[in-house]
Amino acid sequence: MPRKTISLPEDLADFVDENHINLSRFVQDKLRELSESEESEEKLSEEEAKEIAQKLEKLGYLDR
Amino acid sequence: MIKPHRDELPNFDRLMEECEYQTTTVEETPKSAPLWTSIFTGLRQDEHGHMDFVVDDELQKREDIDGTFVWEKLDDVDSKVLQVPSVIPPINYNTEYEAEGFGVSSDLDELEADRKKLIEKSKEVLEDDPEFFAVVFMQLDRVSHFYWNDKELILEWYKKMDEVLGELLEYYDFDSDEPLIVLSDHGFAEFGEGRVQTLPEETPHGTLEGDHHEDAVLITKNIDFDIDQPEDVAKAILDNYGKDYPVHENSR
Repeated sequence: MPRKTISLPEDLADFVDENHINLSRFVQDKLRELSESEESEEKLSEEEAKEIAQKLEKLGYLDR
Repeated sequence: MIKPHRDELPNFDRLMEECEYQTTTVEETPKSAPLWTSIFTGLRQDEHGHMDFVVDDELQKREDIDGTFVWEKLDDVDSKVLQVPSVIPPINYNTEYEAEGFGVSSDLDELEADRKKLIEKSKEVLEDDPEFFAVVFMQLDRVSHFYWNDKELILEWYKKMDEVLGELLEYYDFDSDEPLIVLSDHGFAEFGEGRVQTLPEETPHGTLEGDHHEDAVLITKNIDFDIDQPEDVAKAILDNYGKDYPVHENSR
């Protein structure tokens, strides 16, 4: 995995040590949450959804 | 189409020569949404229950699928995924790509533009040497829906897929022990040739020429796992990384 360096003020660095926090995992989880919340905001417009439905119908995927 | 035209498909030919080649016969419904979901979750169709792109007039989204995709389990692996068509628009992971025509185009020029764009995006991702990479090129399927009886055109698109393989296999070392899987989710055939009909012959927009077939292509190298059904692909991937994979109640 690619490595990134982060800097922490001393009090937070102490907090991390005292609480035995796995910093890599913590940052990964927070970033994942953030990226997923951004993804869910990327909603399709009604017009786009309609266009996709029409394309799916053309391909035969909407036949039931 | 591949076997009789091996001399015109040099990259397929190389894979068949240097890798394990087999035809897998899908036991469940040969439709793309459930198949790609099984391929990348390790769950059978009756387990993930995701059978269509649209349910009750609602376009399905990733969060509507009850299952964990392999890249979501590989949390300590640098994974990059492009265009898995379990849903429309298709799923990307750790990278961005916007397909021409939302990945469901039926326009030949648009499909060709998307194929070229996806090759370039795949190469850009592969330049960073991710530990796990998956990409799905759907263009041949779309062309087959409309032009299956035009074997000249179909062969032309197989050649285009062969070119895709050539471009991407530049990043694969055939002498390494790196795992490689090349597969289709299903095959194609004339209506009536498959075990079950999955597409209508007529749509409100015109006639379709082909239907999905249960026989799919599977080519593997350095995969020490028996792949018999689509869900076994995810298990093989997870097993390769030492991860647990789904075990079914009525395992075959």
